Amino acid sequence: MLVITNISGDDMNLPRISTTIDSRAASFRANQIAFEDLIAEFHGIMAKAALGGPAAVRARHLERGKLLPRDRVNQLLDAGSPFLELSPLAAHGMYGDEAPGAGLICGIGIVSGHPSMIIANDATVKGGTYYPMTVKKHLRAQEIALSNRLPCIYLVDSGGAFLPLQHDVFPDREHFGRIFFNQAKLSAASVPQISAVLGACTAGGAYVPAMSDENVIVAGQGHIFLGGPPLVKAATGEAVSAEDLGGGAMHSRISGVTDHLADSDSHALSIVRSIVDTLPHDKSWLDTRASVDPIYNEEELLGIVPTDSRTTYDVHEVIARIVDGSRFLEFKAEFGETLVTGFAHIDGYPVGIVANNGILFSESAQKGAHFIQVCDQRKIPLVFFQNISGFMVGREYEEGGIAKHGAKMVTAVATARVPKFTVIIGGSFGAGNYSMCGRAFDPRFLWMWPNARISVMGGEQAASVLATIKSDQLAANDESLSKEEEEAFKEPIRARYEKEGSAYFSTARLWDDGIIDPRDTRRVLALALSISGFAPLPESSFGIFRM
Amino acid sequence: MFTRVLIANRGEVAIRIDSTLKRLGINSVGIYTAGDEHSRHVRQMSETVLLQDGTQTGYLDGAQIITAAIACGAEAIHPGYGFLAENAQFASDCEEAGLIFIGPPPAAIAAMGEKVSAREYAIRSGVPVVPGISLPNMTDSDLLAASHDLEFPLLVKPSAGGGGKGLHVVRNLDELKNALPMARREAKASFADDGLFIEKYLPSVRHIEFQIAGDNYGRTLHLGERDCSLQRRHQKVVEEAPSTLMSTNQRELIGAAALELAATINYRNLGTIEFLVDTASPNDFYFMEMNTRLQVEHRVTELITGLDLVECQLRLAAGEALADVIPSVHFTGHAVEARIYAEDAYRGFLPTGGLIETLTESAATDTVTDSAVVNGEFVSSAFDPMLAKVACWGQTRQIALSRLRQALKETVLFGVTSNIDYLTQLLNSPDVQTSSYDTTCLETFEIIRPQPPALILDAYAALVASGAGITPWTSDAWRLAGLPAGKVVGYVDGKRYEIALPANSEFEVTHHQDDDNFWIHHLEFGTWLIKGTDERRSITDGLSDQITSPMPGIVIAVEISVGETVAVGDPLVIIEAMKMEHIVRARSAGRIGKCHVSLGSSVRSGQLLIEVIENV
Repeated sequence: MLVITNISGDDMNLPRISTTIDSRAASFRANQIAFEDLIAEFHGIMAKAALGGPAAVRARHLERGKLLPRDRVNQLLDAGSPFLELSPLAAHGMYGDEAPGAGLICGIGIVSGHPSMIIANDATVKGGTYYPMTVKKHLRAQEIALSNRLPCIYLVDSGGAFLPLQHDVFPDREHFGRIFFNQAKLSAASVPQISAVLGACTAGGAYVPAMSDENVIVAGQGHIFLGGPPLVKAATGEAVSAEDLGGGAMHSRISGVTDHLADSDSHALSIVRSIVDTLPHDKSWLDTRASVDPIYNEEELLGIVPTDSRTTYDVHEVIARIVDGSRFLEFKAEFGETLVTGFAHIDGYPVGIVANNGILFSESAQKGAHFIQVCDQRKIPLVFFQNISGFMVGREYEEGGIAKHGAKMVTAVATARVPKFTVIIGGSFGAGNYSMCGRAFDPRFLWMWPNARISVMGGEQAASVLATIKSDQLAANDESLSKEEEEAFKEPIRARYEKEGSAYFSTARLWDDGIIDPRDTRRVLALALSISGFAPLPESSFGIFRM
Repeated sequence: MFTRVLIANRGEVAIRIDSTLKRLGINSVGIYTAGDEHSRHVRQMSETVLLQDGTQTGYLDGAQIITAAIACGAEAIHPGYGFLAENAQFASDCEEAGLIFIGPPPAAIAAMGEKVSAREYAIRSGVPVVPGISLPNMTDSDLLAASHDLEFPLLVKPSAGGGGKGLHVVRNLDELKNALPMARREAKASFADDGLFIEKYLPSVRHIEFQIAGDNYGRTLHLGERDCSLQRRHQKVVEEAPSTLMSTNQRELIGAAALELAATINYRNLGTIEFLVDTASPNDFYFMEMNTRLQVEHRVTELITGLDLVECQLRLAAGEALADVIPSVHFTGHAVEARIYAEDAYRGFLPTGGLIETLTESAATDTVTDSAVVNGEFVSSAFDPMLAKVACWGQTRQIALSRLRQALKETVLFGVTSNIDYLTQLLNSPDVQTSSYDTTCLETFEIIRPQPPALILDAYAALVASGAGITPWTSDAWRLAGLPAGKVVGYVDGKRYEIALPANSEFEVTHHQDDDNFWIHHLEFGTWLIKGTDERRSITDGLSDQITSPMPGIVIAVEISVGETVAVGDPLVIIEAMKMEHIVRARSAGRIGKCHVSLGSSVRSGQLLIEVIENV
């Protein structure tokens, strides 16, 4: 149990969280060792994905005088700018692991003083072609750009759709065409669309620069055409070189498809930087104050949080290592204690924190709904720390109307206008995911810690539920499962949930925006918060309902 | 001992004296003039008296200072160095007013204050002097005539000089003729006396000076020598003790000569006798002059003797016996001092100035920094250009040199361009490292302007980028999977922030948006000034050549008139700053289009002086 004391004589009025953690305890050390292993694994996977395509392909790319996509991003960014990369492990473990990062680098960084969304094809990964997850990642980046009003910079070097999977890339609403639909809509919403053609821009891909407000092409290297030379030859018999068909000189001097002609990657990137420099600066409506570091060391997070999501701990200890000055004004501390709600600052930005501290009961859901409304009314962004096995079940709770109380919180989460940020710090199971602003509830960003688990229910519960149904079916025929048979039935179910519930399975499929090191949580939230105030909020129409 | 002492000086020497007074439990009283309220010594001293009169003249107003000393109940006045320190009249005025002048008796000051008479005393004491002619009030024709009895090259010196000001080396009669007017003008400006003399110019000598001490009872001793040969335009730059040229025997030989002279003039308290010592044969030495006061470079003697020379001055002035004040003298190790001047070594050592934005002294062991200025202080050209001096001690000369180099690198000085780069390069030079230098060494030593290292440029770029002003983004080159990061500590318009670089280095940075100048300091690479780009300049180039003042100062001559044609190298304007004359010359042939200044104009650095319409 934590004791919260009010310390006066400080510049902040919020009470400071007192810790009860003993960093010399065996359990702390055990958690730490287990977590360090998880993080080492995470760093290994990240480093491998960051390389992009096979070494030989990268070498060929460099021989052509082109920069590797990560170097392009680094050159584009202002020196010293952080880069908040999005879904760097997209397509991890998919497509025979041939598409690291889904062949696309997306992220937010500062370009000429503007926080910008950068979307860069990795031509070393299957020629930069679009796999289903590439499309999803590209669309997600555009969605983030729209909700935060970030100029989009496309570093184009792509052969278009990945043809063997065209059925999952081309036809549907959220497929390839949506990229261009989004470009038009973003531009209409005054979110600048800028592209640099640094390589191929074939077929549908040709529309990325064509749909941009302003673009740059590298002479002798960038090509834009609806059909490349082989296709032209096949269709009309016309023999034409790539350079004549869609080179930078042609497009800059004859067709007018491009606006600026560059002579190298670096030149093109510097032109893009100049273009961004001409953009107006948006004003954020967020109220900020001076940033103060937490008084407790973020390193301790690793010893506090058990890697097994079934083990309980006090989430106040996590909050204390993320918020400014470890100060937290708790709301309704005595009511519905399995949900912790309260006000704090992260790097100077005001936040309302909603964090699980056990199973959700009716009271916790009511409290959550109330608190979310208060934050929305005060224009305080919401941060959800998810570690939830679900809502309480059982007759008593159903009679108490837990479904309607849960629905209140879900409604509050869904309709809150303020920016919402979700970090899954443990389990994310069942309806708990919804009430804690899961992916379906449009948080501005959603991240997972490497230990996080996500599924409709836990593997053990799923196996038990299915085994019970199976036994019931057998019982109807006067048959039954032996202990061994039951175990044999359950094992593959558990194994499947184990695999599909992992953070890597999630992040590969864009169920989140990336896995983060717990020690980066404060940083990542601060970066996201800092760009969340550019898009204006609609007016609210109701007062706060006391639940 | 005294209970209250007035310090008749400013800047680092006032602070230096104050620190000893404080240590000895003696009340100290400082003085300052209008315009000097924010200078370091005023801020640091608990009791100060405001003098009437202008910025410089106040500190020279002996009568006013004596009145102030009596009014505040001081029993003694410490004159420091410069200003009234070697003014015999002031010393005797103090005595008449019943105050103790902490220094030698007025007669000794007078005897040594004028070079011609000092030379006579040296000859009378049997101390060798440099061959030359030194008669009072010699006219130009006297000097030219006298030169026939001497061998060129000759040295023209002001009779009432010091600090190397107004000295000119001439190699033949024509050069002598040409040098005389300027030498007189400089002598007049610096010492209010345009008297000159000439002497044999010795091609390779060391400037070696002996620190002597005497009590009121006729006892004297010397505290060894300091080698101050590393001088530029006769201004000391680096000083060390002991001199690598001196053997124990030579030290005693020259030391004995110094004490002979001291005895002849009944010297008391501390003083310094300067000699020229022949580099090739160190037994040949010549008396140069005597400084009847504490020296700027006294720290190196303190570091090798363990004495506090200001304490010695106070106790001797208070009447203590030499044997009690300095029972014995032991030399331990080696000490080297470097002077940080407000001058731009990359631009011909032109005086600089400006607002000291940051001054952080090295905190290394065996290192003493005496700073004349503080953060936020404006350095004008009205006073001596020395900003600080850094002295280091080491068991060996090598260690002392290394420490000093390191201490200079650690010194962060933002806002005013200084010679720190020059000093570190100089200390690194083979001549200094191997101790094979003489007094002309710095005439040929050239500073190399290095390209800014990549890390400095990275820091600069990061700083420019940080203008975005969105807090978490200004911080560092953070990445999801973690990157090693160096640190830039910066101030943008006074607001502190830190940014990290993808390199393992720590920087300190200041940026002011009004002039767009970035000051960047790194332990390894020192201080860099990166100027914001001024694209307007390129527009005016080629139309007319706009000659701007290279430094702040006063126009003392305008050599041209509008419409006159000039050739490359023709003198246009002479500007006096820091008591030195700087000739501004035509950079291109053409016709004078406009002249924006006249005689007596006070000009800022960069101020437009003359427009030369170039010949096409």
